[in-house]
Amino acid sequence: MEKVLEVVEIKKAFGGNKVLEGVSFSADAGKVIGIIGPNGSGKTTLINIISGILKQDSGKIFFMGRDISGEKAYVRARSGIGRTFQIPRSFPSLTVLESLQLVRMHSGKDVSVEHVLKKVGLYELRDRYSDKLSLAQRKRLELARTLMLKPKLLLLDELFAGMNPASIREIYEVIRSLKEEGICIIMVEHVLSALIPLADELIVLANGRLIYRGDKYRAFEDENVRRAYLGEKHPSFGM
Amino acid sequence: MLRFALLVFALSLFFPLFANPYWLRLLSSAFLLSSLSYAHNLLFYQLGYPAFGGIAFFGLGAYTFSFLYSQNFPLMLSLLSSVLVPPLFSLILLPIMLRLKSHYFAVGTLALQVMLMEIVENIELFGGTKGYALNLSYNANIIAYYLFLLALLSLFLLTLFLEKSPFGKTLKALKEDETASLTLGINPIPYKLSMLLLMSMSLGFLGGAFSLWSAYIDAPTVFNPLLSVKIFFILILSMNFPIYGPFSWSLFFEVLFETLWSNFPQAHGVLLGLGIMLLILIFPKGLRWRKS
Repeated sequence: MEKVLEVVEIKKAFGGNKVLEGVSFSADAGKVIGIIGPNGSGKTTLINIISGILKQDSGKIFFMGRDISGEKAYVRARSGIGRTFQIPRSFPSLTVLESLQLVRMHSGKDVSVEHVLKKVGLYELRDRYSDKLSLAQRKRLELARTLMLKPKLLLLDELFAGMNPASIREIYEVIRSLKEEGICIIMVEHVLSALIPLADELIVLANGRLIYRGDKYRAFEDENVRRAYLGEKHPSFGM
Repeated sequence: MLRFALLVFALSLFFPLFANPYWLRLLSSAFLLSSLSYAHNLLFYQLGYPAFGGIAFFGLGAYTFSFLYSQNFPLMLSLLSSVLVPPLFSLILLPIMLRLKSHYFAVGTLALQVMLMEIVENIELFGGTKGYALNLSYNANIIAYYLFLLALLSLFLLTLFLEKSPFGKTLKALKEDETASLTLGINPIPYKLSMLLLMSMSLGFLGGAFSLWSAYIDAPTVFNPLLSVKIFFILILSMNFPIYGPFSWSLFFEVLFETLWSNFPQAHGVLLGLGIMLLILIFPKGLRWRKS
């Protein structure tokens, strides 16, 4: 299977606060990797570094076998790394359609706007300004924008947060179809009920370290994971 | 609305043929103020950069023109230089300044304006504190009128183009969320630089035309911070009305100022200040005129 992403020993600190302390992992095409962890564990920072919004202090990032560690965010996006944000960041003065056309113009990718709009269920709302959309619709718009990049790697930061169950079900189907198309998807997610059925593997971060990678069903049986989530002296450890 | 605006421009072409000098001066003044406002809006409205000291480029254009013209350079060459020198200057300094945001950028450009003003006032070669008095043997105020009109029409059409074009949509995206834009493959540098160059070229041209119009310039006149205040006041009122707002408000203020000045010479400044405060209270977010 084709290796899409390889993250090697990424370290990042903000002042004296070490947010990532040597995180390494890789991800293959057509796989969904869920990243979970307590608040402040470095999940979003990791996504920001992979997408080029933040620069790592040390470590390397390889995308499709190419070292992209020093590349700017817009170059990474054009080469096929798409991302969404925890809180949707839409452009209020652009309509849904204009937003997607804008991405097509800059990415230079030959992607049908109409196809993408239909895929995420926004076709009927294509002429609406994005500040007139609901939270769930803005999340769909963000996903649609990333699809205009013809991505090989999708970084989804809490896509399901704030969505109702019906919306989650619809987006769930979209994500599954993207996976079947061979896109590598990395999902940072707190809504485990939505993440677990989608993910092939789970990565657990705590205090800037990768403490677990493997079977999604066994993650919470891992002692390190339980300690990270529940604390040192939780009764379930039998202490 | 566009047809009406183009009709106004067409009629303005013939205005000097029948207008008396007073009305010609008033309209020239309104054209200048609205052109300055449109030029500042290239960075402020389009990209969200408030260049409070943008008038520095106007001053630079005025001094470039006056210096060359007083050295017996031809009029057109002096004017062309006033268009080219400010963008060259901005290329040296402002790529660094464009890393600043919002009020930091505003203060940075203000510092540039003060710095340039100090430089020209202290160097005799540039006229020192005396400034430049130009010896104009022809009807310079008519030429200046048409130069202001040309600038206004060009900036108006540019604003219209930016409102509708993919280029303008990219500027909107960058203004509203640069981080999100980056993750969608948008390289901000060519866009920011082109707007900066367009703004500095326009202001430089207006500075050159202003020198021709007034026949005398000095640093406090062409680097006047109060002019920036006036421009940004107009831009705030035009915030949601960027195509027609700067021209309409400039015309309104020039007529208002003139009326107050001629009827209440002792108190026109106070009355104008009160009027501005009232307008800000009534329209704190500018006049709203936006598609829903």
